[in-house]
Amino acid sequence: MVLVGANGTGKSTLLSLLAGLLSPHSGQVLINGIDIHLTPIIAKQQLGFLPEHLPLYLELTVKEYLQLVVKLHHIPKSAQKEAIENVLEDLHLTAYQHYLIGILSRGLKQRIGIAQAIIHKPALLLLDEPTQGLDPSQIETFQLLLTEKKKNSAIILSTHYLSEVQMVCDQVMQLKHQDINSYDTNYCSA
Amino acid sequence: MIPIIARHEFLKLFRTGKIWQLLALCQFILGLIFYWLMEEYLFKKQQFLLENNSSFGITEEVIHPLFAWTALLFFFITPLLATNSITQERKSHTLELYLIAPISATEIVLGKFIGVFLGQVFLLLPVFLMPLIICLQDRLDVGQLLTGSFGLILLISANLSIGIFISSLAKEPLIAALAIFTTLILLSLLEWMGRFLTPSLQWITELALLYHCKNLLSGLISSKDVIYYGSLSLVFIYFSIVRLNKEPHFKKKS
Repeated sequence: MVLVGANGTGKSTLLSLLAGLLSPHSGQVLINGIDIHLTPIIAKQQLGFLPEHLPLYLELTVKEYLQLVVKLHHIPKSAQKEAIENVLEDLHLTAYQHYLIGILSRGLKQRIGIAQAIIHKPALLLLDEPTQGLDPSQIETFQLLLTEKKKNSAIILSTHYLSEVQMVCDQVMQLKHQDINSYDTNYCSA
Repeated sequence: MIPIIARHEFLKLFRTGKIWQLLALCQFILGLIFYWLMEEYLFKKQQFLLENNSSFGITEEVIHPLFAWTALLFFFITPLLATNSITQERKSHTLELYLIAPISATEIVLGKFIGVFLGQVFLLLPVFLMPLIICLQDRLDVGQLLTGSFGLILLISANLSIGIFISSLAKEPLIAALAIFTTLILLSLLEWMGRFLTPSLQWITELALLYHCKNLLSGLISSKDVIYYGSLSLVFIYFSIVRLNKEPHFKKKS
């Protein structure tokens, strides 16, 4: 599903609500039927989130950061190395694994942010403007990765770019004035 | 999960270089104080020997005040380290890495507390080594040295738990650091306030932070002092956990 809408319409707020970073004034957020505010630990096991502001430790190397992420997501020790190698390869970060995150470009940082969201193969992937700061070739690589991830994960992303809307186009939700303006479940065929 | 977070928190202090800067500052200030105390001691000892022809306690004259100065210095250091653990992370959005992971607020708070606590103990290690220089020339009261060290560790644990709680409330690191420092000073001034209180309110002085450290620095272990620092640490760690559990309710919409 793609969330579209002008700045300030609530795309990031909606994604933060779904990730359990914000609490709703009313209603529930259910991830596979599990309330994220009542049982957050179980619900968050199925969740990968790329927030608007990247949660990166600039003083760590890319590999050290991902080693921390896999531990936080309870990936078994035997599978940690493989998970890190796979995500580094998928996002073309292998050459940068020993670099400090702080010295990397905006685009590379964005890719590390994406890596932390997908490394544990979540059932639901929430991506807040994932291609922000990526160059055209990186966007293309990311789109291919997303098409691959779509097979195993539900993806909700917010974007301003039409190409991304077409890429993950099963459903489109347009937000306007902090409300749902339209909801199209057959965007691609339309 | 707690050891993973604690290890990361501890190593982060070294990676950012903060711990080395603080260590240099501590060593410089406490080294000067140690030198000044030793000079005072030697001067007093010479006079004492001339008058009584007997020795008097170097531990009481040098180590006790050195540890008391260290306790005061940590009133400045704890706010910097505690602020760094939550408020700064919230501002730089790295706290979100923990909040979106399947881990509880208890694990986050305890992990951060243990990591920063170990960082503070690392800063204290050279202070504990200073008395060893004296051992080369004079006899130390090892019991008093150990209880004093224990007292300092209990004090920084209580200070840190208060610091982490305030850090979990604040949004701006500078405000958090100032609030922690002010709280620690006010909690210490409760003892001084005793002069102005009626006898029925004198119990308030016993809530003062440094009041319970005095016995320990003098070589006396009292269960009352240990329980005070232990319960203070636990209460504020619990408050921090409660606060972090409510994080989604407090967080400002982006």
